[in-house]
Amino acid sequence: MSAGKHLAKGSTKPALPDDGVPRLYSMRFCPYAQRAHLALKAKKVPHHSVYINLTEKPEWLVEVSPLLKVPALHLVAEKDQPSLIESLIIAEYLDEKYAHNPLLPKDPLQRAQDKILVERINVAFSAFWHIVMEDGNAVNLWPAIYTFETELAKRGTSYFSGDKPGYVDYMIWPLFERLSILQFRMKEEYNLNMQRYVKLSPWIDLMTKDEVVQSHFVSPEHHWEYFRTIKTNPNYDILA
Amino acid sequence: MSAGKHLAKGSPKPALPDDGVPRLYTMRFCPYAERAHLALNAKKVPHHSVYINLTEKPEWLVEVSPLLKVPALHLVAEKDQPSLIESLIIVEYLDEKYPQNPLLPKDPLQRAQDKILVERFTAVTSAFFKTVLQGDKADDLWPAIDIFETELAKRGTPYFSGDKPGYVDYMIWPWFERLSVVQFKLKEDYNFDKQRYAKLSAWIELLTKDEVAQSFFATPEQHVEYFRSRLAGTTNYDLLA
Repeated sequence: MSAGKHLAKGSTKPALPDDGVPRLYSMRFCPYAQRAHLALKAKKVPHHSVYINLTEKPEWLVEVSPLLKVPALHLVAEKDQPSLIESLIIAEYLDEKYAHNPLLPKDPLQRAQDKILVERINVAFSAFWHIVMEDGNAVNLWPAIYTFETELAKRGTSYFSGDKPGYVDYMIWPLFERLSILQFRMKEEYNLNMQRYVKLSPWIDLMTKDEVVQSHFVSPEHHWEYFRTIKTNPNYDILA
Repeated sequence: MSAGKHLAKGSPKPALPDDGVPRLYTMRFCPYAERAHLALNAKKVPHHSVYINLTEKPEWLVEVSPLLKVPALHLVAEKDQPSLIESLIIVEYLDEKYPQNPLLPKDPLQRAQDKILVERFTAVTSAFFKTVLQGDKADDLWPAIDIFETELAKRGTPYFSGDKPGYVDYMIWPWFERLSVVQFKLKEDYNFDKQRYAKLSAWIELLTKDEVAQSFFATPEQHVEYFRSRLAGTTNYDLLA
């Protein structure tokens, strides 16, 4: 196992135990890979994590992730050892396969509404990348986040999924974990907007302390450090 | 009910019977809306279809589709009368809510693989729109379709979902129904190679005859006429009304 170091071109394929346990091909700072980690941890599904250098992908990656994507969940115990991609499809697969700690509700309507809500985080992600990658402004970000403030207020529970975190909470968390780096970029605007989130702010505190979130947590300082390297030479191994 | 006419700005909200039956807000030529129609018809779920002019949206649309999107499935029998959007989420909801004619397999791994395959179809839909709306050369389209030829061959069944059409078949069908539009744009450069796409060609023939696909079918010529009007800036929504 890579034990955190991101494997690159020229690296040997890691020797993993022949234990039938799924392998998650991941990148430590990828928010979509984070969703897969959170789902696996929330449902206590044993897995090995293998970290991948996404700018110099190892030659063997195609064998375990045919489209060279992360996250990729390689199901070595299944016939033909298929790999699953797409963070939300991976999370739904895990929820259907493993009965422990259901993340999605049972009711079809609630399930659909939760999935629609998670789709709406994409607008916030796009706005966030525009700030971080293109030095853009945050004008599209705050309304996109306010959608979630309104929805949490409407649901009237501590978490989007009810009295404990579930699918919506974990699938949108990666955006909120990274939101705090804006305090290093636009402190006043960040603070001003965060004050408006009377429901989201306590939720962010609860999620930060959540055991599952903590299992894969990256501090604002470390996220900021990674983001500053992303355009030139991403420093994947900050935490390795 | 609009009975096919696309309701626009200034139109009154249609008077629909107070029967608790879901309303599908749709557009006759939208491939994403078609996915919802196919799922509703495949599972024989009663519904009313209300057609929307997407360039001059009616003022009341926001009441039934808060983000002004189609397809939107307005569930009037549910508490607070919520609307569902996103074609794939609508279809998954219908498959979970209504047990008849399951569209997705039961096994979690097969379900995931079918959903991934439909996500990969985005490469085809993007290439399709780039070609027909932006006049691109379709260099991306044919390799994207190759993936589906390979997968259908690998599965070894007449349909992606097995011996009868299911989720994958219906979710990708709308774009194959519109190949005539690609031909219209590319003219002599169009080549849907029936040897390169041997499995898909047989599949297209089967789907064309499929009862559910026929329930919402528009002919190649009708699809071309719709697109021609759209490219000319005078979208003829009511071509089939």
